[in-house]
Amino acid sequence: MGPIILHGILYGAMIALMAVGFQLIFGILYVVNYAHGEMLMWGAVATYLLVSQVHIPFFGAMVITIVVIGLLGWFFDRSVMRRFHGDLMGGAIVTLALLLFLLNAGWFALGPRTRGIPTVVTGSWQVLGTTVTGEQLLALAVSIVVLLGFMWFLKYVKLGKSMRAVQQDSEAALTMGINVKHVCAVTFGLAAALAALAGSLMASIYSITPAMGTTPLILAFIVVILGGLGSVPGAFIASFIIGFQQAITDAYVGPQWSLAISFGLAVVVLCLFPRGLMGRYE
Amino acid sequence: MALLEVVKVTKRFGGLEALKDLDLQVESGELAGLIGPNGAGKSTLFNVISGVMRPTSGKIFFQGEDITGMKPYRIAEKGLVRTFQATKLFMNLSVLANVEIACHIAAKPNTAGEVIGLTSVKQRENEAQQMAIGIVKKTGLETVSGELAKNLPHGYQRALGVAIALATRPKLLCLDEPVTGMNIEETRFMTELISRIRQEGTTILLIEHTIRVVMDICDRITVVNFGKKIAEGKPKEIKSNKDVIEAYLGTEEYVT
Amino acid sequence: MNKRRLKSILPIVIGSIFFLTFPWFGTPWLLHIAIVIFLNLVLIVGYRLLYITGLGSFCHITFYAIGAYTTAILITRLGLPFGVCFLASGIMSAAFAFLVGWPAMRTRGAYFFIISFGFFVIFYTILMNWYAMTGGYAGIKDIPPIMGITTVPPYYYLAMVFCAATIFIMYRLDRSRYGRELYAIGDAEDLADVIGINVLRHRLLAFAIGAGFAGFAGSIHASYYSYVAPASFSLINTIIIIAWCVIGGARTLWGPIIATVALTLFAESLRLSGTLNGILYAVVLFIFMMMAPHGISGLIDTLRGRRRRREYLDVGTK
Repeated sequence: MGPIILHGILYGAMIALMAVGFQLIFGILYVVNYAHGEMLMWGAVATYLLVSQVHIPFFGAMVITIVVIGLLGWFFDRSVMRRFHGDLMGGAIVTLALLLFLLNAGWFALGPRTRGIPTVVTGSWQVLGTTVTGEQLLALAVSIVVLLGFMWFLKYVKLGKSMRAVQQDSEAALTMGINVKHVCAVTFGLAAALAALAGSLMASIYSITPAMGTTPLILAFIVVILGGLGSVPGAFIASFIIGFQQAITDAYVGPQWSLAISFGLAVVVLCLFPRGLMGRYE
Repeated sequence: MALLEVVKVTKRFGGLEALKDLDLQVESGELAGLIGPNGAGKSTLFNVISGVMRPTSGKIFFQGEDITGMKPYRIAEKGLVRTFQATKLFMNLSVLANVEIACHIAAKPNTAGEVIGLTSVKQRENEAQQMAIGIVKKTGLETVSGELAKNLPHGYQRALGVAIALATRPKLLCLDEPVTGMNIEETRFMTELISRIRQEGTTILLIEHTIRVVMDICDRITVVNFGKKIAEGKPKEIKSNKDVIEAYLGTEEYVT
Repeated sequence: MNKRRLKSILPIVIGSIFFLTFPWFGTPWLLHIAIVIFLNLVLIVGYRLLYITGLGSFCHITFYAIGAYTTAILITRLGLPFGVCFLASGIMSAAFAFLVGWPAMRTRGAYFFIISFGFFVIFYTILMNWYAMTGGYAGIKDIPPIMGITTVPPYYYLAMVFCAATIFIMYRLDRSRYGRELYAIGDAEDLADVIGINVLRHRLLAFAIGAGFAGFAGSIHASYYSYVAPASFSLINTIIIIAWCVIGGARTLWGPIIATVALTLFAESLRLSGTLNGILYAVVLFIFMMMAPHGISGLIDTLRGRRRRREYLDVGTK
């Protein structure tokens, strides 16, 4: 029971970091970002490379990774994605190309062996009869803090409010004087940074391979179906639901089937609720 | 029994109430107008009638049948067709092809026959093409019938929108702001066209916020503001209606 | 016979003679490439049918895989004759298309992109993990050849005939009323909806038809290669199909056909590592999306100045 709760919350938090960014990209740029999982993967890979090749301590590596990937995301939007804002089909193809590129670049950089990062935080604790490692605690703490901080940002900080305005109605936002293009680029960068953060944290706990981005991407998709397209609070809640579901099926059915089961559930939900459970869009 | 009956329709978007307990009837054969200041809910009502949106509550009856919440294509099959305010056309097809597609829809498809190349299918194609040519002439588009829709000047595009809707041989034609943004000549052309269509027996429901046009050609006018009906009657009555004048006060749209 | 008819029939006659006699002068390698190309062509023209309505699926390769594995399993487990397996493969793929497409297409287009990709990943996972049924990572081997034939030319002719039939059917569909309505949906979905076109049904049908043909092709694939493994149906393969469509220019039928032939030849000749192949395709896709989103056929038509005047059918990204 204990491990399930632990893993449920941990997965949920990681998924939330992915899903919130993904939802924002959809809500603001109206694009399905296929490369989102690869951003997570590169968060992990970059952190690993910095730690093992350049010998930067973990926290430093993590910060550098997040900043660099965030900036690259911002830059990618400004240079390439810009002309596909609002173009669902075209944007999908471009992000798919990005997925292909990042994935293969990952194989190139890492090679076929899986890698791992040596212990970051020593020690483990007993909580409610379960062993929690230092890394897991770290990941939990950091992700929850960041998620809450991000929610606060969206609600109270000017840029965050602009993002929400654009998500609601980009034309109205334009007339209010909001620089929509700028908001889009920032959104993409922030979403990339969040995904990179999740990847970085995961690097400290799990093994690292270039293929590790696919599952988180599908999980983000599933969250979107459950939480409704474009709904950030919905994404938040759905992330934890899925996190717990994954933890449960991991334990009782086996990890290789967890994703298929999640996806099957999502499809069933979509059959019953064509707009997602909490879909806001008409 | 009215051709179209909108009964107590309410439409809410989140916190916003776009339509509130709206009643509307359109009798067969008449040219009905729906006017109101910008944002009054006219287009929302169209969306609800044509099935693009579901009403939050209320019902819509067409020819006595409850069409509330039906999908747009089914409502179109029943004979209720609308145009769009923002020009929606098959941009990369020619004018004639645009109309032809709509002409075809009334006929039953026989795709297998088309793949093989049956003669009877070809015959029906020719009939449809003839019909399309007829409509293109009627809407004054013969001179541009081979042009791609995306290359047409704005006025012609609007006319094409009407032509496409006409080609489906509707019982009720709903025109969404057909003359908004047009110059005097284009407006005159469009209003003449609308009158002609009406004379040939099609019932028309017209949305506009340019009042003069509506006053000129409509038999009966309904006025809405803030999603509610505030007046209804013949043009003469509406012109001098206190509530209507007040609703438009301060806007430049009201022209006596 | 007047000159005009001669002009249009001549290339067909010459082409037919060329393809029919190819096994005599073609090298074994070329023969193999030809079969690969024929199967790829079936894939691309099937994929394109839904693409022109504005929805590009990301799971087309999955239907190919379903067809291949259906045949593989039916032949090796139940010993059914190839003809039965062939039919079953197409039907299975089409059935899955309906199953997946229905929830995915009912509302917003974005759900379709999500579900189709998810379906691809999930099916791939199943192929890799359900060892008992699919043989897992290694797949299914020793699939017996059709009617005991082990030489290549008969497979060449089978693939050729099948490919020609598919292209012919797609060509006729393209010109049919159904085809024109598909283009209309891709052009202005809302308008198509309100004039009475059942958008969902049209799209589901296009999806299923494309999937069905992919399934049939998969069946031939299984018998020709005599093994099936997940690696042939992976991410890069599904993206390549999309690339063929974009690069060729989905609005015409011949554009993607030419792109498929050229790119297949190119890829098979170069024999790059998977990683390099992937990066190359990614870069090419980027370039085309940014500079020539309507693909080669779009470029050619722009060069010829045709885009302004003549009526024709534009699809793909807007």
